[in-house]
Amino acid sequence: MNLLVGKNNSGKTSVLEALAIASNPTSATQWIDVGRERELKSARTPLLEVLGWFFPHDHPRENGYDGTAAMKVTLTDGRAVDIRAEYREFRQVEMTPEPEDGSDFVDEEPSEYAATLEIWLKNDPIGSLLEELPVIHEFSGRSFKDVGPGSRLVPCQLVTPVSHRTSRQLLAGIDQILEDRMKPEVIRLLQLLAPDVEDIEIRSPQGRGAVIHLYHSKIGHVPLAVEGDGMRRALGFASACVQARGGMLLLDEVETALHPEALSGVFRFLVEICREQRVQLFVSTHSLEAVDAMLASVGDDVSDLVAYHLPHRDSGQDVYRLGGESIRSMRSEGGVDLR
Amino acid sequence: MPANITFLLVEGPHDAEFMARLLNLHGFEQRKTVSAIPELYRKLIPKDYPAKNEKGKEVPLTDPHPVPRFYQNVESWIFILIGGGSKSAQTLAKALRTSRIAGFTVDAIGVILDQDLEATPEEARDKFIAEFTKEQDLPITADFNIKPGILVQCPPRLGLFVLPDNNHTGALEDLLLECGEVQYKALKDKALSFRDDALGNADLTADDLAFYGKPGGLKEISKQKKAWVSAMGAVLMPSVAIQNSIRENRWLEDQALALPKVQAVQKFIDDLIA
Repeated sequence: MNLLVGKNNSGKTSVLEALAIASNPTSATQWIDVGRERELKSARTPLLEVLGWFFPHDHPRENGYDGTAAMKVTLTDGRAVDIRAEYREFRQVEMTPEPEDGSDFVDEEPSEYAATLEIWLKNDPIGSLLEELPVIHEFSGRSFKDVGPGSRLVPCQLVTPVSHRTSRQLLAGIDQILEDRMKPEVIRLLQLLAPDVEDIEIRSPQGRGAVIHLYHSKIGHVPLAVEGDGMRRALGFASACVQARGGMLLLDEVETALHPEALSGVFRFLVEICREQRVQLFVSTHSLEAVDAMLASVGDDVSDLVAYHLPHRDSGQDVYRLGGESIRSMRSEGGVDLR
Repeated sequence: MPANITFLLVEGPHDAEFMARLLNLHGFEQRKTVSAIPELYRKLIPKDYPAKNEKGKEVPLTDPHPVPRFYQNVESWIFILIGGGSKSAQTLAKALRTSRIAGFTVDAIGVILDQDLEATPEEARDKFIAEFTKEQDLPITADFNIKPGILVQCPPRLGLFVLPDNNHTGALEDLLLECGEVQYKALKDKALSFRDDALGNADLTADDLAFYGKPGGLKEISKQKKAWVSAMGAVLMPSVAIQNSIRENRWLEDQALALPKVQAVQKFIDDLIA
């Protein structure tokens, strides 16, 4: 159980995104999916903006952008994987044929940027890549070419503060929950927020499409889309957790849409299900209630809990790691603010 | 230029007031409201009430809230942290971690211990060190294995003082009684007679005297000194705890400041904040 704390703009979300990318670093789709989770579909940022901002920026972004990022991932079996990515934007110029009638000739059409993303993977445990050769993906402003399925190191699910507003991952997760006969546990989670919820079903109203419904004892079947944000978010956590089985579940701003009083119950569920599914949990938060709920949910043995305080990026300080005992001490006796 | 920051760890509120009186001599004034404390240091103020203990269980509403005392002069801040017994090391560790999270540097750390029931100042120090070394994730290296009363320049500057004077068994009451001898001689003598008469009174049952421990034991001696000081405080500032009298009355004025044991504490504080 990993807590990420720190002020706004300290990079908590960036850490979660980096972990999400590292789970399948050579897949272009993974990069794009992670970037797309930042916002709702209706507010989509252009593709290259999504990609370019995965890389460090130390000057204003003008006339294209080049960036490099590297990461070392040590897996629980001790294997260390080095990931290096280089991103390069360039102008894509479309030539217009010279007019035959001799009229004025403009030799360049307005151009747009394209980009390449080259990824090197050293010590790839799956052995899907040649050591010295990068995977090269090409991106235009609107589309990209994903060469191959990627090299998934661990299963991973990223849940952002807006994920519950989309049902992209939700349906697959609910399907998995039903298949794994985990419905009773998930219903108990939802009952923390709405005590009259009795069932979750995937229904096909009027024979068209699959829609998640919750059954309330008082009002019957209710499509998930009209449930409150808290219900959708809690269900989103459960759904993401089963899909992250054996890997990582990344929850950005975990307290979003949840009442502080509901946090304890939600965390108890998360800790239980993550242990059951062998999922390592990474949670970013601005909420002391969330920190306390996490502490309470792990019980007396806090050895599985750790917090990382991310300093402001201009502070010159390093990330500060606090073990479970230290977190508990900080939150006892009136509790100091460790955010 | 950033202010000099000192953490001064003491064992109880009466020790805190005694040190505050010495700090007043350096122009330090207590800052009592949140708005008077810079944002940077406010993380040291506990956020939750009622508090919970180490095991996450509720602390009674009647227990004091563990808020540090904030003192400021022209160029420095001193935060007096009140620990007490086995909580002392934990209190200091928590404040150090908080300073790391808040992003300020601690220039000096002073630890004031007493040794009511200890045999030597070194044993009081060792007991503190044993607790402090259990603390994890400390942002600085602070090795208190130093001679009591001596400061080392690490940084941070470190020192540990065992009341009353790094040599004798005792506590703050020993200092207060010496101060009382020069500042309130008659009151001190009367308070002694009163205490002895009262404790010898047949009205008091064994249960009434249970607080004093075994007759003739170290605990009894220590509690009797406290009773003596409290009897003086009951006249100087009735109905309030002794720390109020330390703050408001003349315990640490005039000739008391020239007493060797008081001067030893004062020198320790002077060197710590230098």
